[in-house]
Amino acid sequence: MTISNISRRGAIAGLAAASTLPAFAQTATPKPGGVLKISHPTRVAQLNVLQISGPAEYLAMDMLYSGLTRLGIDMRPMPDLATEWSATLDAKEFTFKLRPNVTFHDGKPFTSEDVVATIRTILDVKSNSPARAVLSMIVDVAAVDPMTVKFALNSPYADLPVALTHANARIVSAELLKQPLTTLDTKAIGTGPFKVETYDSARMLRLVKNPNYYQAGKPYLDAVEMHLFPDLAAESANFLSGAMDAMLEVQQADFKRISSAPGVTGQRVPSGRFVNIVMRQDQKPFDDVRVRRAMAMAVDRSTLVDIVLEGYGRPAADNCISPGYRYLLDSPSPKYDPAAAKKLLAEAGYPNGLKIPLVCSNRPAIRSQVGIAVKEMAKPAGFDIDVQTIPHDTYLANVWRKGQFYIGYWGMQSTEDAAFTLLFTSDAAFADTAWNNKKFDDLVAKGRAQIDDAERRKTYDEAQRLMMTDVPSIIPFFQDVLTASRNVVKNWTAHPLAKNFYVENVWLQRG
Amino acid sequence: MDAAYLIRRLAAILVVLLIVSLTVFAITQILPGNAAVMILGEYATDEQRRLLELSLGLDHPWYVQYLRWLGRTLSGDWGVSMRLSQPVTHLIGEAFWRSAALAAASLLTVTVIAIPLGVLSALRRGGFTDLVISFFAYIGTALPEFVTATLLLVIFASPERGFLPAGGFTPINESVTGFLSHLVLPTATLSLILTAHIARQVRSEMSDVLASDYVRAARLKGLSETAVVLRHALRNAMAPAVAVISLDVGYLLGGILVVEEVFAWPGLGRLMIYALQNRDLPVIQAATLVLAATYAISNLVADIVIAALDPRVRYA
Repeated sequence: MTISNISRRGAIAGLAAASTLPAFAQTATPKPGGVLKISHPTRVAQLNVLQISGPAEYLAMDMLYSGLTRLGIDMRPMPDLATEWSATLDAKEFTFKLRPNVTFHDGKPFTSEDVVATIRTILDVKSNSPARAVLSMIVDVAAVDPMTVKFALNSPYADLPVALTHANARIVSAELLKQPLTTLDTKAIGTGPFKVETYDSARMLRLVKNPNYYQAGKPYLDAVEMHLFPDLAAESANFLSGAMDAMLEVQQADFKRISSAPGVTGQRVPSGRFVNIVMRQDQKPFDDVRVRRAMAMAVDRSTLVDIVLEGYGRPAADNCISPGYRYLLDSPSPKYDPAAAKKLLAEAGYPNGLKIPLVCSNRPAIRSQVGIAVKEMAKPAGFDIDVQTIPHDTYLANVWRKGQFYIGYWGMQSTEDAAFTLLFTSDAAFADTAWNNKKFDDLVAKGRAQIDDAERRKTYDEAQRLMMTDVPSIIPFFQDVLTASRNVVKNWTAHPLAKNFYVENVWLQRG
Repeated sequence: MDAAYLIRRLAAILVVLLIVSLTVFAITQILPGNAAVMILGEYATDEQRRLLELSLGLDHPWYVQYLRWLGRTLSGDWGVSMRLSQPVTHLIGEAFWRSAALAAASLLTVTVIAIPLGVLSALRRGGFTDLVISFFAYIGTALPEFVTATLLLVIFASPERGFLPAGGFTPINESVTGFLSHLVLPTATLSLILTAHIARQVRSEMSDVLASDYVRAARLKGLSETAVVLRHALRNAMAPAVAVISLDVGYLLGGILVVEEVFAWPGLGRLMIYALQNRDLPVIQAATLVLAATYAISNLVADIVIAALDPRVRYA
């Protein structure tokens, strides 16, 4: 049986689903040529697609490499280097048919051997690839013939085609993987629409058109330049003066000003990025669900959206599944009710309130902003919170996954399963709340194996309800992805995950 | 000045650099976390972190790490950046020349502007010109770089008037005009404080010298005012000014950190900030050494220049 055998679905077709995106002049014929200049505030520290983790690195890798599948704006997998795929009924074996006549940037043909080499490298712990966490159910990957690959899984996993869209799971040439892995840090040989011309991590990454890209006629642009501006004032001044064509990320505080400037279009895409307030449950006082619920009631979520996100986000309900996912449980977020919270806290044995330190990393700044706001909001409920903001390296070494009460920050995942298993199942890759709930684990495992859409929705609804009643951590809001481009840039597209960009569709209408 | 003096001074510089490197190493060891933690961030398991620490050599005690680093450094190898996966010598080399260009442009601007301003101010002491120059000098010294930088950005690089780029860098071999246009605002920012500082210093020295007996004697000899100022007064007023300029090199190195960050100038300052944020020890070590050496050598050069200007200065 075939799980998904999607007809060629371009990124533009997917755009229609996202209502907040600006309407593009669909009728205009793309004009080839030109250089697109994009500014970004963080370095492209390396070109190793298996390891990258920064926003600018995601953009660069999306242009340089292709994956077997690619995530559409609608969060469904679309064909990339694989043209079609099928799975056995128990969702434990997948077969991918590869796209013929694709070549790497060095001219070598792309075959199943490259897929096998890449997946095996990702699964090897030494590669340090974040993709390993979402592909760990793969026990074997084998080349059936040069254009067919077969995956064997140790447990049913209906979402494998989505998991393979992971930004760190793009296909690297087997030749390159034979060299020491550090070679990938400064050298990129992919099958993407662009290839590296200049790489200066302190200044600029210049990519030029790959004339042999598998989509005929694309990319339209001759080259893309990514310019680094660590200072936000300088970055926005350069963009507004026309020296740059697009800003990869716009800060909430600047979005209104920048997107309303003449000749500029801002894009705001709802995303599943969230800040979570971790309450470690194997220690007092958070081992008592009443304390966790009291804390959840003491957070005024819509005010947080207004003051911390400047309105560019939406309140959440301690559920890691945001509106962007397929199986969101529709439910209101907890009401801000400090009086009820105070009562609950008294019931839990803290009639005189609870004094507790809350640790925040200084990166990104949003963590301590949330901390300070929550301190004030929770005061009337009897929480006396001492906000401690510390440097990020100290946070990573001493607090993260060790602390009792601290603030985390997570990007959106490609599937519900990935979101659940990131933080909340007992065996989660980053289980920092110590929430060991057998029922939740079972529901997640059940959902993973379900191929029927309606059945799966039911299972995931129950899992989400459980998360909301047991409050393993507080997820107060989801933060939008914000980007901006000048009007001469056509088809510049933001994705909820901020890891897919479809720059091969972008063209310029200058003069 | 003799060769022995020079050798003694250079040896002292080497000792200072050794102490600086040891101190920097020790400080980074006291802080929690390391490069492996920073590289992997929040998407890392303990196993991955341990493996990366192993491959970066961070599993060894600090003194072993330091001695290894020292051994490599003495053989001219600064190793590979932990975060940027490139040879440190290459990273530092590139960044150093970019910073040096900025520092040189600033020092040149300062010398050309500050010294004549100071002289003019001293000659017109108490007059309107002196008042205006002193007023701007006071404002100049009072404004921190990030304020000056932001003001200059708003005035010269705003979308409406944007005739100068608001930041970035073009290598000189790609485009000379591109290089120069990017150089203007960061140079102006760095120069403003230095100009103010040095102009005030020159004014004060020059005023003292102009009031001295030998200048009066020169005037009584019947020398023209230009000759008095240029040949007698300025030369004597310059020695203290050079001392101040050499001290300002230290300031310049600190100011560059801020200015490079604001104007996206990819120099040593920005590399240093990035390395510190990421706990990239080989780069932190090398950048600190280069900055410390620059400071020490500029002081040495200043001493030599002062000796040349003022023969009364003796080296013992």
